[in-house]
Amino acid sequence: MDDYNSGRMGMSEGTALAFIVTFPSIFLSFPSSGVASAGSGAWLSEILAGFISGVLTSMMIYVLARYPGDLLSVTERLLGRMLAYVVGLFYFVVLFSFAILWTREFAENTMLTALSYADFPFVDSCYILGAGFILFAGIENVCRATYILLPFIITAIVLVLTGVVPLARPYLLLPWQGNGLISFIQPTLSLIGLSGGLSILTILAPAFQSVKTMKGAVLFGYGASAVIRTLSVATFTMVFGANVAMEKTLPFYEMARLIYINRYLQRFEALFILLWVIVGILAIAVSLYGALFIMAKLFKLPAIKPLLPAMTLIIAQIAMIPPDSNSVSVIELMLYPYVFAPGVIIISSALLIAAIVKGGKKKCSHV
Amino acid sequence: MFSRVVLIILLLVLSISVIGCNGAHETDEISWVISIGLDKGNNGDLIVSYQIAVPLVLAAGEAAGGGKDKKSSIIITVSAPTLAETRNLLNTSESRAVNLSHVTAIVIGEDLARAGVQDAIGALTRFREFRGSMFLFVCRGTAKDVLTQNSPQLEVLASRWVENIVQSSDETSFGLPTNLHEFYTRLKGDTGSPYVMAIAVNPLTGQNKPAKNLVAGAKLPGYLAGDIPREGGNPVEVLGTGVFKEDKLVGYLSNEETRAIAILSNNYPLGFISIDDPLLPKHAVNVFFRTGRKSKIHVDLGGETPVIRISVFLEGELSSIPTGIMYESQEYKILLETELSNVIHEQIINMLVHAQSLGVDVLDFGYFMRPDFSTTQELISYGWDRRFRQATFNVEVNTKIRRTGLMNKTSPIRREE
Repeated sequence: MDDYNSGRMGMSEGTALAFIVTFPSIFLSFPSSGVASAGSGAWLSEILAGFISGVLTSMMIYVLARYPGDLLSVTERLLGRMLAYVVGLFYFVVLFSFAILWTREFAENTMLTALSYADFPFVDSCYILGAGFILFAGIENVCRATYILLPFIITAIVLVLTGVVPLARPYLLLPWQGNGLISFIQPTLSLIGLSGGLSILTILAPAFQSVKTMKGAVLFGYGASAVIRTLSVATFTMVFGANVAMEKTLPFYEMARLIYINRYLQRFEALFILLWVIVGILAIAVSLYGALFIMAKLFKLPAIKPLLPAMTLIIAQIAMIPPDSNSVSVIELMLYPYVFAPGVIIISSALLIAAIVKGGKKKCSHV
Repeated sequence: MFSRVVLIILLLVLSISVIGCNGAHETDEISWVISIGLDKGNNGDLIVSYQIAVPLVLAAGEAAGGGKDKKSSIIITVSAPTLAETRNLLNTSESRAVNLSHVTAIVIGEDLARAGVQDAIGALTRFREFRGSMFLFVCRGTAKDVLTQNSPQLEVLASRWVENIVQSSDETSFGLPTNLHEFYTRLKGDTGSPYVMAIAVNPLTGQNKPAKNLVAGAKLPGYLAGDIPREGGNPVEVLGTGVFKEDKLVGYLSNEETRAIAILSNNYPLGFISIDDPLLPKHAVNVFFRTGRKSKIHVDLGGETPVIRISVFLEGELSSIPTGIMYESQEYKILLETELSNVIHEQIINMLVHAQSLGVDVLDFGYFMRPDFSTTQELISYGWDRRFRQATFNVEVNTKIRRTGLMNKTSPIRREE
């Protein structure tokens, strides 16, 4: 097991990890489907989901603070071996699904915007092989690379949001209840399901220097991701209005295309295609690593690197199964709110309750 | 050692495959379309006029064989049931691949606009080569005529003419720049009506054909595009606004009505107006004015019908007082401020009444009532389009002359006793 335990990850790596695994949705159709459901109040469901996911992750970190080890070993101690397997398989499915769905979606989006003449299998393979390739450097290095890129990613997002401010009409965020409070449930659950990726921090818990490191990573990494996601959805709604926003396949790209400062300063979107390609590959790599890590732990495999080529090929093939790009969105809208979100909520709550019931242990500063 | 070799091979493969040349065309293999004109054809066909740049003339001028008589763009008109099919047909005569990603303007012919643009604009928002920042125009007449007769003498390239005329429209606000994004979001929004800039071919006969009667106190009547008394220059002119109900053109607003929209929507940077001299009305006083603060709009839904309260504050600078009356002094200045307030007030009211009669909420007053509703369903069921036609307006315009130009008093012209 030591072969793939990732050593000592600090606050920077943790922050990057929490950010990159929860952020890619902003480049995909997620904001549009949120607006389609919640209407002008979609930005509120982002805030709601951000808060709930933060609380759920904090609950897991609270448990890890009392019981040293990673999510799987702690689950085994608190809920038994059988349930530890179930939890492990659940998070394997979550992270593996992210890798598959993101591979397909980023490949589709690249063809839609930049490489319309390319063959789909080629683009699909580029993403997953790129992700698999950088994983050979190890999760620590992937996270460090992400951390180096974070300022550029955030600056680019802020530039796009600022660039479309002249077109933003704040009252389009109203009526604040959008299509009604009930309509918030589906997008909020979808976002909670999406933030199931945060579990990678608890799965890799022993790699972090301390519980405080993990807390900081969630606070800064996921916090930044949730804030920027909320701002993006709010800006997107203010610029397009709910009725047009729900039509868009690529909200972020559409916003970048609208930037028109003057005749010399326009057509910036090509630069942002590079941004999302990089974010996409890193996110796929991280979720793939998380899935492989769980697999290795569950089946007590000595190393994960030999699995990489086979798994990347499997992901590339599975990603090509859905017949069209809309089918991928349909799968997401089934999986995230109705499978992943309930799983994340139930597991976090069960672990917290079990830790409290079996409690009495002292806090440990390291995991 | 083996892993390093694999790494190097992989990096080489990667560097070759990601250089972005997949499906690439050299620029000299592409026909760059810079403007598109859309007209209604027979049997449901679309007549599409493509204005294509001729880079040879632009790039090298006479040295490369482009003489003074060579045009920097050509216009090819194709008929087919859809925009996509006209593009296919266009490709059969052009040796270069047609590319629409540099289209600056879409001109919609009046017949097509009145029949509805739903079918024509389907591709504009979905296909990646079109952009939300493309400018939209509706023309009195046919789009083909506008494109073929457009002959700017100060610009080499037609796309530069479009960009400049749109950019310079804020000098007068007689035309309001509208892009595809703004048009489309209005078209699909819960409230508000779409509008676009109006464009037309002027016969250049110098004949005066005002569309509106003179507002009391104003010197310039309202004109529609193509009707300005003008001789010489480019026959094509951009003036006023074409307003749409749903996807159909229902009418035009004149230059002064368009300026009123600009003032109310806080898109009026600065411009001249000539008004009657309050004491000697046969003379004119010129004021260079702007909005002193953002116009305030409040929609009151409390009563039987909505009441729209508007407050406008203007600041002005005197740019001409030919009569010698001391309008720079406080006691006379107030006369001028009242006169300007009255003129702008009447122009705003005329525009609002005209828009109401056409059933178009061109200023999107419905936007200002969004905070009054909890859900979108409540907002929609209020039936704004119907209520807008019954709305009453309460408009207040105040003006303050802040500056007197480069002169702070006017001496009378010496006349023989």
